[in-house]
Amino acid sequence: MLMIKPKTTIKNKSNFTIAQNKTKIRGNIYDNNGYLIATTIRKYDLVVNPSVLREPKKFEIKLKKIFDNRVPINLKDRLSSKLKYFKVVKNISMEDYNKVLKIGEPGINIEKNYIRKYPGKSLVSHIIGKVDIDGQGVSGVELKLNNELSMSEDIHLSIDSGIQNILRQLLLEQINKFEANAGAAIIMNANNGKIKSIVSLPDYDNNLNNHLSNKQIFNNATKGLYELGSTLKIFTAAMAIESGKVRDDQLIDVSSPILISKSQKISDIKKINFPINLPEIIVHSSNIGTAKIASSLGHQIQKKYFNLLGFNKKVNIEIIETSLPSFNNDNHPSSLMSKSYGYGIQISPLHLTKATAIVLNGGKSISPTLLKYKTVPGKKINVFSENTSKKLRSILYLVVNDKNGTGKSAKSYYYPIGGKTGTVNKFINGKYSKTENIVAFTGAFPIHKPEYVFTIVIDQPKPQKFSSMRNTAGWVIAPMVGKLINRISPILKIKPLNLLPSELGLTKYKIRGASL
Amino acid sequence: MIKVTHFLIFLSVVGLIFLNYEIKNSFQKKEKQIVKLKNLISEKEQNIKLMKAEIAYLSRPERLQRIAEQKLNMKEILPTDIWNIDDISKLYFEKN
Repeated sequence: MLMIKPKTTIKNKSNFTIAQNKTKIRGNIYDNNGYLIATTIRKYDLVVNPSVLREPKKFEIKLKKIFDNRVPINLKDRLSSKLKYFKVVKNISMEDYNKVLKIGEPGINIEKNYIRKYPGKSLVSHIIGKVDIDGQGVSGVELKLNNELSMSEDIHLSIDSGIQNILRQLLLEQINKFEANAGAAIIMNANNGKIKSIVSLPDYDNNLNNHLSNKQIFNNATKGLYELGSTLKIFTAAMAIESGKVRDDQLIDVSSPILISKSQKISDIKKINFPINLPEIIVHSSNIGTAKIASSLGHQIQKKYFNLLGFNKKVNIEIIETSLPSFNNDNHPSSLMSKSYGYGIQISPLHLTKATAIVLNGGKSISPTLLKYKTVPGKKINVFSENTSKKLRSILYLVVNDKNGTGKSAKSYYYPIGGKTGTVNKFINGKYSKTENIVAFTGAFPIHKPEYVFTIVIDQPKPQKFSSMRNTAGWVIAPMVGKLINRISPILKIKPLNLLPSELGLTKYKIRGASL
Repeated sequence: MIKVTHFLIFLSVVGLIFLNYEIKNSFQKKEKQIVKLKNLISEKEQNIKLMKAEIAYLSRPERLQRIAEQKLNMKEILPTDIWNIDDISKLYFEKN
């Protein structure tokens, strides 16, 4: 007769382990440097059963002593009512709980809850997204990687909080200066597609749950579709050089506007009376020249390269808020020409960043990602040749560094920058507004050997006195680009260069001024 | 002779029962202790998590920048502040 009952004890033990497994705490989200972006912490709520309280009035006074102004206003009524459940104070410490227990009333209880906290507040609001009351993701990374997070796996993002902060600050400054509606900016590694920063303004504090307007929640950088104007001339030029239809020394007449119909014509702001070549068309940002290049390419080539650049599908990154570009699919030559300089094609800033990276990194296809450790499977397709890419780099360098360039206020004396400005009349109520603009800037640095690409878009900047009543990209965004790159390059470990333009190894082009 | 062996067997059975009781008792005690410790560990882990969140909140870039600018009079790194180690040593030897 042995008294031991081994079975029951083992059973108890297994029950215990099961109970442990039940509460899987949602995983954390870290940035590239291990900075905590999102975490789940436990909190205790004080719960009281007022129907069993013996002396509600005394209890109320003592509660007020412990919690001061944290108690709800209607505390007195609630405690003397016949309720069965009343949450008195949220998020209390264990010490306070012990104090409450010492009052000696029955019906005092504590509720354990888990809440999602975002220590960076509104630093990376749109990318991270939010969770609902049950701790399930409802937007951003929280939604797309919900399975991994709810299995208590930690996520490491490629986002750099420091850069994110600088970019957000500079963009906010520029938006406030020009009283703009909204803005978006992206910085991405040009070679492996790791996104260093995405900012969309206006944004919100992820910790707050209520009073968020649709404008705040909307992610302009990945979900917003814009006609991005002259920035798309980069791709028209790349197509022309790659397909060999237009040589870079071929002269094109841009002196007279192209008439499409009686009411419509393609014209330039800066009138150029002599034939110019492709680099000059891009540097002067001539619509007429780009349209003429496009018409010599034809619909087929344009469509082929737009698809290769990824304009025919959503960008597949680790957030749900992405959108499909929309095109003017007309077969009329005017559609071809307008798309070549960025009208009649709506893409997101993320699409533009990706396409710019493809053109400037040597022509290799790229898949943007928000994850630190993601390795992209599959082969890289060569969209453009190294030679085309080098020519485009040289042209974009001149846009910023030549005295005739549209983006010359973006110049940095220590880091060679290249990029293209774009100013678009905003499409409002079925027609293009004459006063309301969308301005964009896309480019790369250091331009002779691109490591990072960036895109900045600002929606509806108003003309200001200090900008001589202008609200074009060269005035609104370009000044911010130089500042931005001077500040983030040391963080990205890019060394300042003291090279002469001739030592950068770029193709040399001579740019003539608008008037000879 | 048989009586002696019977007695010895009886004694050992009693001894074993007692031993078994002791082991089981201490096992249960230890098990309770384990549960307590595990709860304590999870409690402490949660506290660590809370502290980490607190650190992250206090070291958010925007706040650090504000403090560095206002309290420490620090400025952002300019490209001219970044030097090559060879250039610095060259300057040093030229001076001396």
